[in-house]
Amino acid sequence: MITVTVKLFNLLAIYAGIKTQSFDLAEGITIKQLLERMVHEYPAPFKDMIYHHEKINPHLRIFLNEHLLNESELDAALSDGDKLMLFPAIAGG
Amino acid sequence: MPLTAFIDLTRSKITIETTNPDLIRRWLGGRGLGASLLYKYVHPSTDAYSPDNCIIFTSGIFNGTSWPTASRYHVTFKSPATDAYGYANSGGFFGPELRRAGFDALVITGKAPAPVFLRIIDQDIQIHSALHLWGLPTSQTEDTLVSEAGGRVAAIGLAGENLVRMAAIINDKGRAAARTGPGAVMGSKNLKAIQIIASAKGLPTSSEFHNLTKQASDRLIHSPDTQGLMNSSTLVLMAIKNKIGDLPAKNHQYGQVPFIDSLDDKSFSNYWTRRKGCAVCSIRCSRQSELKDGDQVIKIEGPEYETADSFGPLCWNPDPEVVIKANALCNDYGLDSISTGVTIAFAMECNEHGILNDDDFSLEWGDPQTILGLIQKIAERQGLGRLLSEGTLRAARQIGNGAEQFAMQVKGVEMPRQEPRIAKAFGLGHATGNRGADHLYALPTIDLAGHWEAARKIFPNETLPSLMDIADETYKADVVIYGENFCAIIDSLGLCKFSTAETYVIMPDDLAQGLQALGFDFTGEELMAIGERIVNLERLYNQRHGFNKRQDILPERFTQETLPVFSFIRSSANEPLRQSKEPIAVGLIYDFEAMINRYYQLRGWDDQGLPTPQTLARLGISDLAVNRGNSS
Repeated sequence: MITVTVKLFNLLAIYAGIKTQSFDLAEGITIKQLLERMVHEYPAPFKDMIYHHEKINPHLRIFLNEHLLNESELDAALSDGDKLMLFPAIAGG
Repeated sequence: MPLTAFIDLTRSKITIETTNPDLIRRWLGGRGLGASLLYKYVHPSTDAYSPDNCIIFTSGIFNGTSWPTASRYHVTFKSPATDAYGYANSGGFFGPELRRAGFDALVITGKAPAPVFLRIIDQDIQIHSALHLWGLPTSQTEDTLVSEAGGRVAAIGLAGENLVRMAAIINDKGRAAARTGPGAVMGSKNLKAIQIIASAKGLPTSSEFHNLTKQASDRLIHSPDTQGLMNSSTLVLMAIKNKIGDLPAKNHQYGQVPFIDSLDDKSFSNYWTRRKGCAVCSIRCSRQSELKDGDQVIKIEGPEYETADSFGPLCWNPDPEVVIKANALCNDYGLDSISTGVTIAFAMECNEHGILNDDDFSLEWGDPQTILGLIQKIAERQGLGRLLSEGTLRAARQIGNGAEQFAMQVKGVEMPRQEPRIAKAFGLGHATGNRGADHLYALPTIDLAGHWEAARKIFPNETLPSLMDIADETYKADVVIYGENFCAIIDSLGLCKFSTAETYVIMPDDLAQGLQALGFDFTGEELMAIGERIVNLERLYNQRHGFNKRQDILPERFTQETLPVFSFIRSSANEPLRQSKEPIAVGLIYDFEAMINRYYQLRGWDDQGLPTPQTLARLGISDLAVNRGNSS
């Protein structure tokens, strides 16, 4: 088992109803798989912020231990103590 | 050496000087140089429409080079909207043309006895009659002048000629130097247009500069933060802002609309014919749109997000074709599409509350005839348009009966399209902006866009993660101040914020490297200090007009009325959106006083929002201090 902490920001925290959550996960689980688990655990609108047309939403910024990830890095396996941060990315005008 | 031209339209007198290098060292160029010249030449007793007012066109050091997004020019003047400091900024191709003709600045004063335009062929500045152009739409003015002599044109339309306080200058057929009324100042001088024909194709630069330019351009093209702009234009913001409650609707009564599917980037893409970009831009966020309207085809560059919200959700209008038509009218009349849309939404809310009606238009929410008809009436200053052409603050004072609560403005300038109860850093920035409500003065996107990596480098550890929570008011002042100083540099170098403050791809240290390769010995830190100096100078300019903390306020709606935020979901891709029955959150600014007091404290300003002598000394501008006994 590993423990991963997820910090949600802004609209994601509102949709999930929680700002920080720890997940106890099986070893080998990937970031994408954790996102899928969160989609099932949190209320329906959360899914819309994670996926867009069944791909990762381009308005989502995911940081692993403060390192910004691109989509190809989401298949990496998580490690014990990892910290994920998820932001909805919206800009000014 | 770049030049500054002084053009007196009253006397038809033109003087050209080499720009003092000390001014560039102190103010960089563009916005900083414009502010310093305005401070020197236009005094508090001068009315915005007086011949003694100046309208100052400035370019930045990067204009005319290949530095990515160096397309923007700056226009500085005493504003008929604020009755104090004013400026506008625009992209396209006019700014680089100004620089390649050899100019840092055109300082235009006086008033021509009859309509004129300026034709600038390299360093030869000619004043010509514009009697044949007066009354023409901006697009026709540009076509006429370009067919005569080529080059690039910035022109006013009917709104500027009629001294509408929200009149814009339009260049390159659809780029607008729009905010705070520059078109009206040109109109007050009988100046219809400026045409520039530069023979130099580009400014000479070193291979080192060329390499830096290429690296910066590559980073922009590959950054995840520019992909949305490249793929979908600024309209990429419509749907996502609707989700979060940051899409102002019904004059800020709401932050979301149920009809977003008809106004998102996908819907507008049905009208797109090609992708466009300004000079030397690798992002190319713009789109050409075409709409068949009877026998005519309406062609515009855009609409951009700000315009789409102003004439869409803000007026509760779900029809993208009305937005495109409204945009086209604003371009041709030479109107600020933000202020015009906000003013029409204001009229609609006044009507909703029974304090304003009109013989010509229903003023009902979403009514296309009202939206399109009032744009024309405002430009013509006819009917209700005569009142609304004054902008929301002055119109509200005339209407009375509490109309001021529906005027979404700061310092006489209509608010751009962010919702302060959701995007709180933007809310604070609208209040502190020295040219009035302004999303581009601070452009505080760092929390809203989730720029964690930039925040980690810029701000102290103890401010994180609170600073990145858009609803947490504690450190919004910190975000706004950094953004204001950074944006002042960007505007002074002739750059677009989509490469810099909006996306955090190109940072002050990168700009310093580029400047060093051009022979200007700045560090990133020194640039940020210049940015701070410029913001303080602008504050001093307003202080001379009696401004202080009393002007740094937001409409009460944002601190008194909660904003409900709903979720919108669809059960499958083809189903319509369903709005949640109950709000999932509410937005409100809870302690504006604490936010602004921290802002003043961090700025080194006193509790009235005015720079202290110590701050001015630190910034090296004690010589510009305002005598407090003589500040009105």
